[in-house]
Amino acid sequence: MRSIRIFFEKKNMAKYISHLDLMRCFSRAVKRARLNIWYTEGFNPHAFMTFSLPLSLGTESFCESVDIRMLDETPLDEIKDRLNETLPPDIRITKVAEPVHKADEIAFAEFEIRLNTDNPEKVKASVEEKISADEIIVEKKAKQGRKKVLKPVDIKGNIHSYELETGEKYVLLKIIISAGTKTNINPSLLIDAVTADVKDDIESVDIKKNKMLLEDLTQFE
Amino acid sequence: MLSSKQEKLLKNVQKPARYTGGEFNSVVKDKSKISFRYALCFPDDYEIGMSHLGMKILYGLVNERDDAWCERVFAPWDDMEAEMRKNNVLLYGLESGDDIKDFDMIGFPLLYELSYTNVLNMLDLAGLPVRSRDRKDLTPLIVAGGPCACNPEPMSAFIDLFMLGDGEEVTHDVIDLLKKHRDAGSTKEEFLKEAAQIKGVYVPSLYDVSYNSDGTIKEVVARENAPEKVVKRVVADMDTAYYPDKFVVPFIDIVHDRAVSEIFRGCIRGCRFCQAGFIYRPIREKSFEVANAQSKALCESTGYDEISLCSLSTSDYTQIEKLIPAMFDWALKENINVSLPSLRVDNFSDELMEELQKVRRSGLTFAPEAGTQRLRDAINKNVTEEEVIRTAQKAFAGGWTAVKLYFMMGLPTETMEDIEGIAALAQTVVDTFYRNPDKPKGKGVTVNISVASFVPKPFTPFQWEPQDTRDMLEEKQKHLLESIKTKKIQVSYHESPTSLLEGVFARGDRKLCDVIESAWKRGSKFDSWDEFFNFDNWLAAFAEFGLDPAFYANRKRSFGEILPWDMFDYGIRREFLEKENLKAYRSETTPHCRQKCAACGAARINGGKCDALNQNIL
Repeated sequence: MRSIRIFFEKKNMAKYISHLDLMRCFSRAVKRARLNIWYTEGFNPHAFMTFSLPLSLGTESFCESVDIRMLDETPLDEIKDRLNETLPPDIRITKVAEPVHKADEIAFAEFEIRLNTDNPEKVKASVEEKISADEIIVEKKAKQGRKKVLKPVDIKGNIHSYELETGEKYVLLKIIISAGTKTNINPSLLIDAVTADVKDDIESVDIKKNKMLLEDLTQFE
Repeated sequence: MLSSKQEKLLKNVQKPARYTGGEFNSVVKDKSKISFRYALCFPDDYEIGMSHLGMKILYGLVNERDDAWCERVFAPWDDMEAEMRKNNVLLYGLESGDDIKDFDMIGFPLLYELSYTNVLNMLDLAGLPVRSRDRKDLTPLIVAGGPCACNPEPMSAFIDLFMLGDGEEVTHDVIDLLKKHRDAGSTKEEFLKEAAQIKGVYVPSLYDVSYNSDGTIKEVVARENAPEKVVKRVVADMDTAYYPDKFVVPFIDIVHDRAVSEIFRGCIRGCRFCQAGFIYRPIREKSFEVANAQSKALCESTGYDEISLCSLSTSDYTQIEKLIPAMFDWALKENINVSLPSLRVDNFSDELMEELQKVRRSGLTFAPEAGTQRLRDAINKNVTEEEVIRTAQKAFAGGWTAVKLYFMMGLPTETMEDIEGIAALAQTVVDTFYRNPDKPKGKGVTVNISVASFVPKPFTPFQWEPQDTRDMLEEKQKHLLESIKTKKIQVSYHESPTSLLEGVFARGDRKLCDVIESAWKRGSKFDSWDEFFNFDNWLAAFAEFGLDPAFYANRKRSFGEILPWDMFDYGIRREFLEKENLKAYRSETTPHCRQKCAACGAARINGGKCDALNQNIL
């Protein structure tokens, strides 16, 4: 038995597939591809697969990964080709490799966030001001006992670096923020906080996740 | 592919994957290479519509054609509808994102009466007038089919053409003719006149209905050479009939998220309350080799880990003892679960029982339908108490501890004694558990009884019978609850005015078109959903046109009355249904079709062939 890591893109309409639905989609794709993978041995055997990090609904990603266990020596490139044939068109395998890092070594993720607006300069100025302030308070969902509550949290310390630029009818925010099993910041929370004053100027927001990074900012592989 | 205008809506709705398309096995074609576009519109939400086998068959069948592209459309949930209306986005096909109002044909499967308002709502969301007469152009042609098409009169003002019976062949005939007329620049009237000549096609605008002063039908006159009797279509040979080798595999969880293998059509049982048991006759079986190969192909193309057999009564399939081992042979190796709904365990061999124990067991369900033998005989549900007990015994010995029993309330000839019988039968099942020496140690038993209200339907022996009023049903329900003495028996019963409406539309006439349109204008949609159903809307709509729901639901018809569906020939002869009706009042049973052919007449429309005959009668 050998572990392999499958890197994939989840783009266009596939960004509207929830994490749970994605898991089901992958196990069916594996079945269609007739890959000889390890099944759990419980009462309800199911394809064993571990996703590095769940992705928020509505976010496109170019750096997702899932680990499976193969029971034979099918070449990695063949696994890639067979899965690309059996996955829906908006989920594409980019690479199949042996895992180098453990999933819990992921520390940051790089996002590209596009704020579509008719007033790019105004939006940029407002976002710039908020994001460079000493603290950025977001409302994070938390549990108090059994109750679900919204808790104000300062996430300033979770922002590693960012760049802001404007284009025709948009503002582009490139940002590296904490991600992983320990601290994970949902970029839409950050966006809600830093665009609070210019909400009405923003037509829509497109979020793309480009890279998953380790503590030293090298690529997760 | 959705436009950015369409995509923008998805960020504000629940379950956006209902509206994106792009699922595996969905069919995307090159628009420049096709000349006919068909939107198959299921008048309920994605999760229900995607579970419907008929949709899958028709989708695959039309997309097999090189000249046509069939897309799926489902009723948008109200959050999506609000977004669409607010942002002027019209109803679109999931595959292309194109507005369906520009398609050549739009088809609605009519599975239950309470989806009718959704049909109107979807036409409106598509940007089309809901009334057939207000749509002057030939295309998009609005068509419908499915079980409710056996009495489509309440929907006759909205649908241009109905297809009766099996859709596999008639769909092609209608597409071919529509293409011809569209290319020739015909008017809608010219097309419909010729379409009425296709076997199985009913064009309501070519029939004039007049009424007596008491509201019953006086006469139906066919115009323009349309047939006086429209004969339903039947697929003669299930082995060669089209069956999809691929299903669109949804991303989100749907109601029946599995592969489905249809094994036969029709039913040998002849339960007098059951519409499906009559309108799908005659019996046509698929050979087990074909069913097995189709099942395997479907599992391979979908990646599903479950396959379910589909028919009205799995254990009446004559080749079941060959099919199950053949399927287990490959399914178990692939971690695929085979589920066998509507099984009668009693007539199984021990070997098959053993095979069945290899797969995950689901709940155990029986449908005695009525509490006393007298009433079971009256409805021709040929199940005896001994059979129920014997099966329960076998099941308890096999480790089951929960049993579900299905009953109906409001059946013709029913008395309070029959209601008490429901409780008594459930009690006997409980007692059987405790008397069983092999019962699972340290466990109790639960008997769930689920009671539905009986709704009389066309083309059944009870098509003349009055439906119980809500007051009568409430009284019976109260009596049932009082008759149950133990907590081991749980009753689920839901008296709802929706059964009344179902009864009204099932046997309704053309006058009801106004009522449906009015209720829809008052905001009715998704009527089968409790959170949407608004009875006051409906009462107001009936009142607006001076119509009484009781006239349709609670009135006993005489054999002499012209029924709204009398111009249809579904194979079953009216005299047969009358005879069965009279036998019900004498509590006289009719043997099932393999014991003795009851001469229902269905074989007549299939060249005299019925697979219930010439079979080895066990």
